[in-house]
Amino acid sequence: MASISSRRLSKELMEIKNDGCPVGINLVNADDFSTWLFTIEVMGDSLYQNEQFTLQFRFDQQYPISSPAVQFVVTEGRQAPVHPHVYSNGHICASILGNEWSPVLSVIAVCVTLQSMLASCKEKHRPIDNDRYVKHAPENPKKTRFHYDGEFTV
Amino acid sequence: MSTPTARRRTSLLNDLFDRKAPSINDLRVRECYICRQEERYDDAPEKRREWVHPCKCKLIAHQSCLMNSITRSTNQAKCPQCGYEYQIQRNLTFLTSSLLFRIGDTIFQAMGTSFLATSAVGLVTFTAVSVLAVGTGYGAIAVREYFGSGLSDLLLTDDPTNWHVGHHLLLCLTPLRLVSPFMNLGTFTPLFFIWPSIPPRSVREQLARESNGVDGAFPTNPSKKQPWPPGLKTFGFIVAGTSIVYNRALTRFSEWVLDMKQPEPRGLFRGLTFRREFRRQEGPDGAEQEAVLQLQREVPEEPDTPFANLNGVTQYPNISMILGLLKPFIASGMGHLLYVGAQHSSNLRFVLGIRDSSIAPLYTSPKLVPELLFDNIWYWRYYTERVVEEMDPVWIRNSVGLGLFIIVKDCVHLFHLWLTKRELASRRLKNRDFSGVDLKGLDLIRPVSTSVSST
Repeated sequence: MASISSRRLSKELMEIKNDGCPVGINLVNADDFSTWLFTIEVMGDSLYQNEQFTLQFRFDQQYPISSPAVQFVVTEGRQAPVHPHVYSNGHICASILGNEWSPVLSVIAVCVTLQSMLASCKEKHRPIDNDRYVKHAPENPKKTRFHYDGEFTV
Repeated sequence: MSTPTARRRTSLLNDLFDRKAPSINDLRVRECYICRQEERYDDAPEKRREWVHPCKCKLIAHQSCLMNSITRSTNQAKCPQCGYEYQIQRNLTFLTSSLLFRIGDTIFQAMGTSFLATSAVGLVTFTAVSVLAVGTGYGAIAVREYFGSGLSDLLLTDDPTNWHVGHHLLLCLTPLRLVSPFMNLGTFTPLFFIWPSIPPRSVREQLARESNGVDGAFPTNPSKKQPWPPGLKTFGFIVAGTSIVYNRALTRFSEWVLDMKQPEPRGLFRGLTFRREFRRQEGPDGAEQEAVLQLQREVPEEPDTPFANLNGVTQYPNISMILGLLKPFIASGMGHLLYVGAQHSSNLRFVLGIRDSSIAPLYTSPKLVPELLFDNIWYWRYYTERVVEEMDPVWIRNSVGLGLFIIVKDCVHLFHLWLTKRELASRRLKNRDFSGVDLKGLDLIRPVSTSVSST
């Protein structure tokens, strides 16, 4: 009996294949039900014009009851976008990835939300505690307890 | 029987008429927002699951999916879309009974924790108390050996309930003081001053009881006070003074014998700090730091003296520890020897304060406590003073014996050091001649021609 996460993820994958991704979002890799890769670009006039970023989703057995681990990929020359809520190791401080996650959200919904988060950015800078966080950051961003005003505790 | 479709139409019509709102079972296709599985209204019965519509918007879910979501993770029990708080039904009987059990569990848990805590504390206390008890026992034995059974039985007794707090403290610390590197008389000095001025209650009562049965004259005039032997406290001062003087004399004497300047008086901690400073001086040169790793209680080395190793060679800490602990027994043994020796010399007897057995002491029998004075503290003080005066002063000969022993031991030690020093001084490196060396390279007084072979 397939677990709840694989059934749900196969449903989502089917929808992506049938309905396509929203503009600026592209599925790169969804071979298994543990890690998916997307690229996202911010459309229109924004600070991130012509920049493409790679987003990685990691699912556990309890998806969608537990949130996926989402981060920007920073290996092989790729950079994380310079944004007040994005750390230089790719970890993202977003409420929908933490305490505001609910099963009604989906992978596409997360991509769209992050896209609009980047689009609405007024000033490109790293978070204030970027260096301190990156030094002691865990490998999985879900292990960090972000306080959603930019601060964090590990 | 009406078909399901007909039944549905009828129920809808009925609802319209009854103005009742549709419920979750009226939907044609239901999709759970959590697992995204769909179910049609005309699916076979075995594929149907229990559904719930718990909020005000259009989101619906399987009962099991939603309960899972709420209980398994930190998701809040409210709708993510419309924010309506889910209302959960509970079975009250199960709830109350499980609550009761939870209360019982918490009580037992608290009891268990407190038990563990008290037993841990109890264990630590027990260990400490037993260590103290051993120390105190040793102290009591030491005092008994050193001061003689007469005095101990009269004023201290073997029963700890008769002791004051100060006694307990002093006695339990005795082993430590004996072991510390002061092999001199000074250790016992405080013990001269701890004797109470009157016997404890049980001894008093016993003396009073025994005196009831015996008739006797109450001595009106005490024997006249002699300057020698001195009282207990006076003798204590003498011992203290002697030990200080002796220590100074010993230091000077050993310096003279060994021709070496001894460093500051050895203290337990002073030796340690010297070592640490010594180590710091050699800091920059990393290689030498390894050499000075142990912190010993010995006299630290003089960096300048060629005989720096002298004391390190001859100090054996374990021996001094054992000797320290055996001090009271050594003292008592020496005292016995002196006693035996004193039988043959009246001068020795005088010095040691041993009385001739021919003179009957006035207080051999514990009589002569008049009934009127059982509770009079002044009388008891007087009584004790007299008794102690008349008692065989074991402590005097023990102290003298211990002193002699210490003198002998120090002399032997100094002799050992002196011998070692002489041996070190006599060491010489052996000389060899220049056979086997190329003679042309040597600058000789009378140059040897190359044809002559070397001797």
